Amino acid sequence: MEKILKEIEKRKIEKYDIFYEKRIENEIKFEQNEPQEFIERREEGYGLRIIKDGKRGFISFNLLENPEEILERAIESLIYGKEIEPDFPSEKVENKLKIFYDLEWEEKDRIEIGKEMIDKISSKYKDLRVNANFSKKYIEKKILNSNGFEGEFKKSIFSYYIYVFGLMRTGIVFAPDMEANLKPEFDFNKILENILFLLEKCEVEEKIKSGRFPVIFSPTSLGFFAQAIIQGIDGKNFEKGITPLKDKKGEKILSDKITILNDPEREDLIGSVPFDDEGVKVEKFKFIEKGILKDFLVDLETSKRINVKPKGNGFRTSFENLPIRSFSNFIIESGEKKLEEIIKEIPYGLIVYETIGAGQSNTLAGEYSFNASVAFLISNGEIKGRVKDVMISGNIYEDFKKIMSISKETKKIYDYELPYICISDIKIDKK
Amino acid sequence: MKEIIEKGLSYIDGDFGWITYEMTEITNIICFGEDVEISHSKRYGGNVRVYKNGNFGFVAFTNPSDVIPSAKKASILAKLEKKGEINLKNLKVIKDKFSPDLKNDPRKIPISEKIEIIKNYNKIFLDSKDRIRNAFIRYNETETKKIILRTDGTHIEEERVYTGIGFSAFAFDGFRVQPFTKTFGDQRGFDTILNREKDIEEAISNAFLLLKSEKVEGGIYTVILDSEIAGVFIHEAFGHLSEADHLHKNEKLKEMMKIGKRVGSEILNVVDNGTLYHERGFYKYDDEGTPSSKTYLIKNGVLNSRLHSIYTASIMDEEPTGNARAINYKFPPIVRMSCTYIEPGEKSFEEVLNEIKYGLYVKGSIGGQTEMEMFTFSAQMAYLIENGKVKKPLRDVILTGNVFETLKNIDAVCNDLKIHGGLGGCGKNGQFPLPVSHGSPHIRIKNVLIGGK
Repeated sequence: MEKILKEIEKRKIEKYDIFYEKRIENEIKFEQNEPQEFIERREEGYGLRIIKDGKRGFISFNLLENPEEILERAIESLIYGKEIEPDFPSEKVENKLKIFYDLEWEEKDRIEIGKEMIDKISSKYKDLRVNANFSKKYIEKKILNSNGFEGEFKKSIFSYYIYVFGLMRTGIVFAPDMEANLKPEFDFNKILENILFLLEKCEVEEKIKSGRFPVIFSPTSLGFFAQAIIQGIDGKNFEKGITPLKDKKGEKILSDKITILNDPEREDLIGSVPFDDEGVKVEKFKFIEKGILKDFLVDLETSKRINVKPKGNGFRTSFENLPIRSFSNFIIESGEKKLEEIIKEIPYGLIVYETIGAGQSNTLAGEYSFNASVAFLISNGEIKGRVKDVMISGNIYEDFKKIMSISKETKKIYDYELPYICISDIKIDKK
Repeated sequence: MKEIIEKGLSYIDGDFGWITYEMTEITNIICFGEDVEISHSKRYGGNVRVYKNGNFGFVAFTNPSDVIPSAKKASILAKLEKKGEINLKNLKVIKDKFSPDLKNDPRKIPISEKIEIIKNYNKIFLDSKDRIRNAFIRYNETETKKIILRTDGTHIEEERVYTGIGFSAFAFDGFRVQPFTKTFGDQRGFDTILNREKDIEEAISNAFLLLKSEKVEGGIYTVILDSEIAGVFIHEAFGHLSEADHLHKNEKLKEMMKIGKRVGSEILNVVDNGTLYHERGFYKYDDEGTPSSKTYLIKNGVLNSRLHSIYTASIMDEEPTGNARAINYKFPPIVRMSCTYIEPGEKSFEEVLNEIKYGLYVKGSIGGQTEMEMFTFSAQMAYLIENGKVKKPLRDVILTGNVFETLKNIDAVCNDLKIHGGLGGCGKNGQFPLPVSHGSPHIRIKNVLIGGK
């Protein structure tokens, strides 16, 4: 970093921030029921943002061969670049969070866990195959800027991703399960139970009528909803006038049963951080409280443009990119009822676990339309068998006003914590 | 750098091994409304991959001087388990250097000139505020230089330069946002960026048109797909199923994809072709050092072949097809497509359209996803067809179905093949976006399920 700072000084650049990230990952991969590939990744790199004469430039690199050339390219990007002067933070952020555990998750142990799970699945379902990976990751981030901010932290992430696929009586099945934790602590028996439940229900085929019926979206199927909300409340889309929520701050946009928050302090969710990738302290904030839109997501640059106070939502997908606006942990608050009770109240409807093609509609407008690839008929308050070739479609800003109930149970999916959401009527098309 | 990397080879302890090292340099220019943003990125990285007794060890590193410890570690990882199976087959030693010849090399064009062109495009958008609320332009230039070394003496150096541009127009009526996107990308050089005024105008007028259009009525339709969405369909629905890493150890799926099985009518021919020079999905060698090839996946309606890495080909006792690809040095190569397309037939588009009493003409693609035999894909827009005539435009068209039923329902293939590249790419097992191309002539499919209002 010193070499780069020297170049910055030499060229009289008074405003800048430098982001450094290092990732070390070790991954055990199973393919088609067998341990197959053992992977280790070591990567690190820098992102440099400079501001001069009211304009901003950006460059990223991972080998510092020629600092002069790097600065020249950065300045070139600045001359023609965006007119913006973000207010870089200066306040030191105390790191009280426990998000780094220097714990072993031995390769041999992970291989054993995988083998045991696969044995249990294949003893029941010989024709199905399991792919899985078990990963251990260490991340180190450092940020410093021209306003005197200097901060760094380390984080550990342990995760698994397992999916069962193959041909069953009801056709092809693809049943995944995934989770991540700051510590290598997972209840693999429970995970196995969930997978076996899905497979058991996939053995019987049921028919469903086309029409409008109650639908329960499971946590694993709610990605389309989260994606549409994040786009809808993105401050950049607000700035550019292309979100349907543009004039809706302070208004009810969803059912009053739903609250969506960013909580960076949860020590059981992997998105937790003391400050974001711009050095801004991350605040716990309810962006949607009881259905009411409270504020838009901003990073430093959009904050300046739309005059919204930054709450630490500037995150980079890697050192190679400038920050984009996102959550550290995306949480939908759980409800009062148990899933079992919610199911009991439905005379005829659907519960959706997996989808194909979600998020490929006009999500910016809140629209969705996808194939419910693992979904079961609910009849007289009970989950029956699998329904196939079902398209589900609608608009989240209309349909998520009609929430009947939100479950007590939630599932952690990486940096998301999501409940089951039951909606009174959803459009279903059946072949 | 080459010399340092080569030193790693002698530290590989396994049945077979690879070392790759690459440099990637990216320039992005983005216009969003009045803002112009430029960013540069330059990154280096490599990996060592060791095969031993049926397992792979893989270590990715940044600094070339880390090649020796990485080779040692990859060799240890490969021995974590022992399956004791399969010698890798058909390994041919290759020594080659490849650089593309570009008529108009984007690397030689000053940034000021690029900015000028993009600002002129942006002016068309900014002057259309009566029809659209905002617009987004993305220019991307990516150069990669890669070395592939193998323990059998293979030494390949390959250079690729991707250039592309995308335009999104956003129409807005106070309630609904309607985007329309067009993207172009290949390995032809800077000419791909030039003369796009008509495409911008099309994005503007289509966003405006769709904002006022009705949603499609859900149900079963006869559809004509244009080359872009038909290409996505064949990539998503069938191409992925042809990737041997799903099948090589699964008897049931092997049966489903048995070579010689009839899956469509005589008129259907589907190809994956990595040798299409200058297309986005082109490469001379895949990331295992196997030359790219033209593979007939479906020939005259019959399953003909599938896509392989060296490993899957060895397991299934077939020939490697040069389809082992990785998005970058951080990932091991897996079986992927290159340029996947339906070969042209004989009928004209008008002929095929005339035969439809009631149906949809579906155009452009937002994306697609597949889970083995089930697929969905989203169109940018559609037009209702009544008595052979193209009528009103419709929005939010998502098609879904079972690939084998759908392939059998293709009853016309036109004579107007087009190949598309774009800016994004294909995603599989966490590796996204991989540059690929897909294409097709206009095709007609009966009985397609469409989700809608």
